[in-house]
Amino acid sequence: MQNAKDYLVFLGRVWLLSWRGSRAYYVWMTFLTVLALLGANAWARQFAAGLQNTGMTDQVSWGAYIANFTFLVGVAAAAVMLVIPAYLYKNEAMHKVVIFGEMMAIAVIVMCLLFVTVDLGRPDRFWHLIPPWGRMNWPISMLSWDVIVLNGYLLLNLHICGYLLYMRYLGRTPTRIFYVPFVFIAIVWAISIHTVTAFLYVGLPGRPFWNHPIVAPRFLASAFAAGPALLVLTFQLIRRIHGYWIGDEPLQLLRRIITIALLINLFLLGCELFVEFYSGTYHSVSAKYLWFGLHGHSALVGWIWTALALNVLAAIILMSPVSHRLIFLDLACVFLIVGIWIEKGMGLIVPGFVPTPLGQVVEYQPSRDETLICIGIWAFGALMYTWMLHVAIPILRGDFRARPEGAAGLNPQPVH
Amino acid sequence: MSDASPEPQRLEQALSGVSRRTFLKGTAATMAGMAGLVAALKPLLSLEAGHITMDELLQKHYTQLSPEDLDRIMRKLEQQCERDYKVRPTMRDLKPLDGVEFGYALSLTKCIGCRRCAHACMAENNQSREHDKDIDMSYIRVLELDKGSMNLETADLYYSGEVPKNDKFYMPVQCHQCRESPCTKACPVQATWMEPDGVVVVDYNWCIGCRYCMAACPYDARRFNWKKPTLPESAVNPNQNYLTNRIRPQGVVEKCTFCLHRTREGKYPACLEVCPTGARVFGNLLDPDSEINYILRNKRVYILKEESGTIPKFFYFFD
Amino acid sequence: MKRRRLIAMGMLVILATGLGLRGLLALTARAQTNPPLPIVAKPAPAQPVAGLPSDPHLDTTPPRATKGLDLVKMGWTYDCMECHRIVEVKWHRDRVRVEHEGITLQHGNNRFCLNCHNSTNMNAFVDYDGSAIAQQDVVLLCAKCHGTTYRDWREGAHGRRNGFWDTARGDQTRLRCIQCHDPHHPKFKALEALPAPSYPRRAAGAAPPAATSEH
Repeated sequence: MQNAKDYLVFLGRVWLLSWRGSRAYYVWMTFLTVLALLGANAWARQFAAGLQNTGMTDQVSWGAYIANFTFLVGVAAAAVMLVIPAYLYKNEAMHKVVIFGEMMAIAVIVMCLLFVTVDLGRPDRFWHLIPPWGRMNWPISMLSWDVIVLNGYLLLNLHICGYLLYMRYLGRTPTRIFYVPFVFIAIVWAISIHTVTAFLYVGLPGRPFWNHPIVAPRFLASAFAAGPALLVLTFQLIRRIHGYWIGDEPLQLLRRIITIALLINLFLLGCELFVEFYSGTYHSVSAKYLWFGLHGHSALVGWIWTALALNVLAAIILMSPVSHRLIFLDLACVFLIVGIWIEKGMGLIVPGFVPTPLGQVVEYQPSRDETLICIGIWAFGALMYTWMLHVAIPILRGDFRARPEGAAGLNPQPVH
Repeated sequence: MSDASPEPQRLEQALSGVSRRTFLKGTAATMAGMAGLVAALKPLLSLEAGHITMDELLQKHYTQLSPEDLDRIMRKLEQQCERDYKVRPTMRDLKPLDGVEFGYALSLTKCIGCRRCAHACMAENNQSREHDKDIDMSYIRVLELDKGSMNLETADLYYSGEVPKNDKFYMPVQCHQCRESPCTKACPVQATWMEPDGVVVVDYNWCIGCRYCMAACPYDARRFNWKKPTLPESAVNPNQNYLTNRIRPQGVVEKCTFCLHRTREGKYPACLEVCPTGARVFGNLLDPDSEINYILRNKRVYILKEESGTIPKFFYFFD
Repeated sequence: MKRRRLIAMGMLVILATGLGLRGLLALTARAQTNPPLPIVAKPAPAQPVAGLPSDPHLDTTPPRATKGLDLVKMGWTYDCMECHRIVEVKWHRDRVRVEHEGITLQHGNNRFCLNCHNSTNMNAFVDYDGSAIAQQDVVLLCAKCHGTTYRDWREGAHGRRNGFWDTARGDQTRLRCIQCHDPHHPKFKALEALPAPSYPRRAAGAAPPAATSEH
């Protein structure tokens, strides 16, 4: 009972802490809120009028929402690239910052779930997915697996972060049995969320652009490049804005992970391109559309070659010694995040639908409302993550503790 | 070991260090946020009252409905149709016939690409349309292909003028009612399944509109209701069936059902009835004397995208 | 003098008898080779009107609204023998007279009217052995040369059927050959295709140049 009361008090204090911030904090959060509300408004319009408000058609029936969803599932999975060094290899420096990766995973998974929800034609019927009231087509439907693994990953990370932060707040050493097994489960689970998402596409016999084994490894490789890249940038922001010191060691470790992942991604891309264009079967018509245009339609050609250029440039920077310097590392990270976002979104989802299984070429462009909703969800994710950092960093620094007199400095406990 | 929980006993202690200003700021900001959210969601008010009823929201899956439930639901749907489209339909739920598995064959030698089947499908199945010659939602897409190959990349949907053209042949494509259908595998909520007589149906009141089935289909056979269906009074076919040609709600997927509301009564599907060349043949695959079995035994039959492993019940043949 | 006149008259008599006998012979011979004319009563329609009353929204009219014999079946009292009792038809006549102006025979290799039409009973058709094929059995006529097609038609692989696939539950109707194929000009004229679907409005970019959707 006391524990419950303590927790409620904690939540109340967290609410209060959320409103205590600098002007820059308020400006940033207001800006994000406005964007999120604009997105909510666009979504309300979409719910009322139907998905005709988007640029999707019967021919290209998945678009920006699923593209962003795919990219973000990868980013969520990338938290595992912090967890493995921290827990399996007992890297102390990484140990201190793992929680930021796990918190990002939470925000990102929520974004993924939002992207799927706004993509549904009947979001009011989402309960059809939830057993025992609904009828989940498990284990046959890969989408049912996706629902399970994404929500499971969210719960795992909510538990791990929530538990560790609350223990830190209370000034107690966390009990290993309450989080370590979950962390190890999360390692496997993170790989699985992105593999299952890949299998969504791979398992479709009617879409030869997707129906091959390289898609899943490429998903993981690109996720493990883009996710940590996002974390590299975020850690530097945390350093600068919150004044919470994250050393260079995690950044350099992440740099090495990103480099390897990006090189593997590029190699797998090369494999894919060889198969598509050397054998020259009719199954490569979607790849032809993407890289060279098809029957006069070439809307994606500029994008994919840009993505390739960005990725190659990022790889070159990362492989050269200049990337030890943060300015170049940041540049490489920005390049590859954009490049992989293009590659996984426009470069994977849309070409799968062009041409249709009956040979029809219909191109896709997101509508204004669709774009507003996407921006709104990204803004909401940023809002969530900023808020989580705003609450977590005082806890980690020791400023926000159960003892209001300030136990900061007394018996500082490691986070885990 | 770990410190005992040093929780303060009183609220003031808990809130110490927090100024009243913060508290007020927080409350004001929260309320502003709520107000913003309500304003943002205002378009939801434009939904008509009764657009989604509580009953419909909580309705169970078709296979779990009792006959009374289904009857009640169908009467309500009839009312909705009358309210929205000015025509009172008769809605039924025909059950599968025993010993029947439907099969369909189409002669590529005889088809001239006149599109009467595609238009008849619209006349029969109450799909959404913008004008009376609109066949965008027709379950049948007639492809014009170059003679000399089956390469679907040469397919043109938009040909016009006199048919058949000399150097082209025509291939209408509709749902193949696959035995190993990728769509029923893909659906996350089991909203689509294969009935005992071989036809793949959709429960329009269960579908969540995720469109995974549309991504899965190798024949591009499914259509989505991107908006609430629009059709004029004169276009409504009042002979409706729960799983087939009733007017669908917004946001769900639909497709060819071999006109189950006709074929389960023993009639031919609408597309076959209007074909001027008699290119279409339909019947019971389990009846050895049926027309469809004559075709399968005696004609050169071709299965579209057979390598996808769909094992369909729709066959093309050459005379 | 008298003898020459006698010989001339005798020759005339022989000639007359000869001609007369020949004529008689000709008459009797025809009477022997002609089978008795079958009684061609007006047959009832071999199938009901195509299309079911409950399907007004489906246009199931046969592709060829047949004239002539179908009209006969629908109740016309037109009896071909009214003229052809007097007017003989001949094999070598490959063009019709003024009464059948407008009928040109373009049936491929089938160049002769009397390959199908019965020269003695113009209300019927003719089989290989000269026997009549009744009007309502016109499919048997086409089957003379197009046997494989006739076999397919019987089994349902050729020609459209309407009504019920399950004949236990209702009537199934078939179209006879001449309801689609004009026997004098069987090659189909090109049909105007009904309007195409429109290029998706929400798609990015313009419709491809080949797209000619009509609204």
